[in-house]
Amino acid sequence: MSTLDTRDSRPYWQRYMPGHHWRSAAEEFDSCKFGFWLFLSTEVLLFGGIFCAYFIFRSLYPGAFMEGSRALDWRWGALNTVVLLVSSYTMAASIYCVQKGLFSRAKLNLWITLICGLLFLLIKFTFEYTPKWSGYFFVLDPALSHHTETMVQGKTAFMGLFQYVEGYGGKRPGSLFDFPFAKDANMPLWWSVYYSGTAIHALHVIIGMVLIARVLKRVGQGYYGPTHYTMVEVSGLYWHLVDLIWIFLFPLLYLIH
Amino acid sequence: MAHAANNETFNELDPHGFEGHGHHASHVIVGPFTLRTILALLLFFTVLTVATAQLETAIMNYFNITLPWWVNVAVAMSIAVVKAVLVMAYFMQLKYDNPINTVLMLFTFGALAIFLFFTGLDLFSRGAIDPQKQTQIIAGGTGSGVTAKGNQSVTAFARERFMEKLLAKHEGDKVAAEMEFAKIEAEMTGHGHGHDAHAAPVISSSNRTVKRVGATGALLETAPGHADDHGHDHGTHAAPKAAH
Repeated sequence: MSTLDTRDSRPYWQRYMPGHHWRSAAEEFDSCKFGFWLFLSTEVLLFGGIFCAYFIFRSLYPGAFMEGSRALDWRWGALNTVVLLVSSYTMAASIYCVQKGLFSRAKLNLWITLICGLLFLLIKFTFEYTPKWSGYFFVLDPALSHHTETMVQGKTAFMGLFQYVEGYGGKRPGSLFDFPFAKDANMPLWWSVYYSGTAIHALHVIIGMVLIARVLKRVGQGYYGPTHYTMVEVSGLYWHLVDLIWIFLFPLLYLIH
Repeated sequence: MAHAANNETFNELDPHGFEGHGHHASHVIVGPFTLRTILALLLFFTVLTVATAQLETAIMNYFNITLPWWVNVAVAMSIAVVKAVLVMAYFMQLKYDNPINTVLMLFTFGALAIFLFFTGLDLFSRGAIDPQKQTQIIAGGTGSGVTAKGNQSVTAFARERFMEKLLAKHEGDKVAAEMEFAKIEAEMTGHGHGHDAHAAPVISSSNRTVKRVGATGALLETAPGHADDHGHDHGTHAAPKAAH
């Protein structure tokens, strides 16, 4: 190494220095975290609005909510809960790994978190939304075996991956509603509450996954390490909030009849 | 403005003290054992929540006791709160953090509680307020909202549309169409979608056959098509005095 080679060849996370307006790296980290908690509190209030809508409409139309929640299968909801809890664990574990400098294990944990998020979305869209909205069941869906009589043979979609069941679909919000066997006239309202709550949550899952994917890429590039992992921590906070919200959504929508 | 530790001299090459060891390592590292324990607890509480809901249905079926609606709600929500506290304290590391973050979250939940509390106050006092406001609130709305043809409810319209489709399929044979309708209906509603498959549809006490007065009472009736409302007893309703 010649005396003219003055380039600092340490990885980015070691070279990282906070801006001069910070007293220390710790102050930058704590401020960033505090700011992010402020943002998380606004997210809590966003979902609080949705929970308030649920509360109001449940109080006004208990029959519709009782009947509507029976159309949901708690087992998919429980599976989704387990998936998100595991992903929360792997997210927290990846922060630990970055703090310890165990980068390959950190990446593994981040990958598992991403895959769990994807699994959550897959379960939600394939097994919960699609049959209810359109009547098309995924061919491997265990619930399909209950509808052998009303399956329309030969009516499939998406290269035969989805099978149509007569009279099941149409559980859509508001004026899009088309399910023929509703007993309570206010059923469309239940579906509005259900779709708005779970879909806005799914949107947050997608946003969380984007954040985690970016963090994963940067961990691979040596951007984050034991002395600079603010972004990893903060993406973790977002993901845990997504999990928190589902912890409340699941019993309210699926378990309370 | 250097924040040197007591035993360090001022280093003019590093005035902000970035290179010192005591400044950035103040963050607690939550170890894998703690994380795994918390995960196990969270999974256990999930199982508990589901079990309680199933237990309520089982008690209803086998002992014919209908628990009040708020029991399941209270248990489910308390377990959810415990899970939320665990996630926030350990996964989100609030326990190890600057207390201001905890205070912030508590304040947010307090704000949410105020939001829900005042909404609840409004909702549940309507019985007392509405009789005075009956001329101002017209039960069922002014009809300028979304209604299906013939001013019937959306659910009744969906039902009618499906019947028409079946009639067309059976080429006008009403009896056959109605038979098929009943068959599909039995399959759709009789199985209970995998859970409580053996229970007759029970009207849970969440339906609360409380006497309702005023415009809100009329709003709670099923919309103009009463035919699609089987077996729900809404109690007596005071006829709204508003002009129709």
